[in-house]
Amino acid sequence: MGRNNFDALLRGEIHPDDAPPELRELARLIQLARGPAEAAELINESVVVSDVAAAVRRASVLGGRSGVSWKRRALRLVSAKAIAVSAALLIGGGVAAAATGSLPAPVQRAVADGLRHIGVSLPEPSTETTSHVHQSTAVPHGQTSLAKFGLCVAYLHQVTLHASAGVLSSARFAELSTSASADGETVVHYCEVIAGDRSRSMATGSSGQAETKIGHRGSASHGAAKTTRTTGSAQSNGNGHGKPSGSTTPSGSAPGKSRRHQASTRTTRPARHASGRTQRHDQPAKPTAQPGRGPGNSNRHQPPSKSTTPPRRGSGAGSGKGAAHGKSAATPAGKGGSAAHR
Amino acid sequence: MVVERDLAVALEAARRGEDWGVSLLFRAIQPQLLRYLGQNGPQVAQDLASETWLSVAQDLSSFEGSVSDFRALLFTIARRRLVDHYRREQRRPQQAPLDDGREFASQGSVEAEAELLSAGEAIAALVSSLPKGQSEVILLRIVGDLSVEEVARVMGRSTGAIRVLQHRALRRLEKKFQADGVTI
Repeated sequence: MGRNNFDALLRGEIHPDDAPPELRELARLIQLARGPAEAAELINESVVVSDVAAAVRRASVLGGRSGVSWKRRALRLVSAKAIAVSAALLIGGGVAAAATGSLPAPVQRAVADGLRHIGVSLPEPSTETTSHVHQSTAVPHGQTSLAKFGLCVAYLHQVTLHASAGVLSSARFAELSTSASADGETVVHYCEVIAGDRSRSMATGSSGQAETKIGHRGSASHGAAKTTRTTGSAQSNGNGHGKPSGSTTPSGSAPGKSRRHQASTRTTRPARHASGRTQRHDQPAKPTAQPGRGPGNSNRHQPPSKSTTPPRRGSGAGSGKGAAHGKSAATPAGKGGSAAHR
Repeated sequence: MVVERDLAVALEAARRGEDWGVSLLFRAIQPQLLRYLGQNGPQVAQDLASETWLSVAQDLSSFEGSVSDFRALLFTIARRRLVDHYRREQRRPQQAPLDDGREFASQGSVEAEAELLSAGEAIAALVSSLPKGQSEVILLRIVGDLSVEEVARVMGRSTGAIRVLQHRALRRLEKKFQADGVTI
């Protein structure tokens, strides 16, 4: 029997009487197997039909008529998930970068300003940020107090977690270690002091902000919003070096002020502690007089002109500002400015 | 009897979610589905067939193809449900087939017995002595009314492999009924 006959047999097209004798019974069974529906086979027709029709209508309403295959839907689903994960990673990475002050200065400033409205405090871009850019020509110790604060918090956290000195294997922590050893202290103690000072200065943030505003009023009397910060700083430190150098952004908003204040309170830490420590900072700071280097670094290493100045007072334009103009003020004037920030 | 052209119209209506279209398709294909799935007992077959219809309903509105394609889709889903069922029941004792072909063969008068046989019994007589692959091909070809190419798609094999299985199954059936000297 050929293929065509087999196919015809399987389709029930060959009547048993027409089939060869050896296939007659097979043909008969096939015809029986293909017989008409029996009542028992349609017993649940009404239920299934109504369910199926309802499901089809529901799927049509939900967009099932798009003609999209399951594969494509699955692909879309996977793509959507991939996009969501990527977005989460990007956002998370961006926030992390903003929290560590690693973003470019304009972006960092924008993010910090934006998040401040919802009560999130992020580091403001400072000369240190820019000094990172020029690190190839600058002294490698270019860290803001805020960055050091962050490093210290991270270090203390790591030490708490691991309780071992192996934490210092990181290059950034090694830098911290260098600073601490320059002060003649252990890294833990050094960090505890920095972290404690920072916390205290943040706790007094409201009054400090008020004082910053006072500083601004003083600057307003000079009639130049641009010079407000420097003027403020000059007033606060009183050494007259508040020359408006680099900072060209007239950010006269209240958040900006408080931001500056916070930075300044940070930088007052060495003044409140043993001045000897800041003296010791002088030595590595000497090379900071290199051209192109931001005074922010040198600032930190300057002897405090007002070591008795309460942290809140010195703040005003002090820190943040000094950092901001630092670049152009890498001159002796810049030094003075840096002293003021302290 | 519903002809293919009527089923094409019914399929269009079913795609729009109209009850009469679904009903016509159900009456034409449900018996085939039950007979394909029926080797595991009538209740299991009913359950699996209902699951199959509901699964197809999810995508019926966007389905594009002929009645034959739709039937192939139904049997593809039914086969998956059956495989799932086998996996679930893997560690349970196997159910005896509905009937044994030899029992049919041993029974006497051809015409009388043939008229007494139900579709399910005839199917059992056909496939009970076949290996699994061959019996599935025969079932899909006879009961499912699918072409070799459609069976190949449903089973995920090549058409050549399906043809070989089909040929071996028919030869085996031919020999079986000759050896039994049966005429049912």
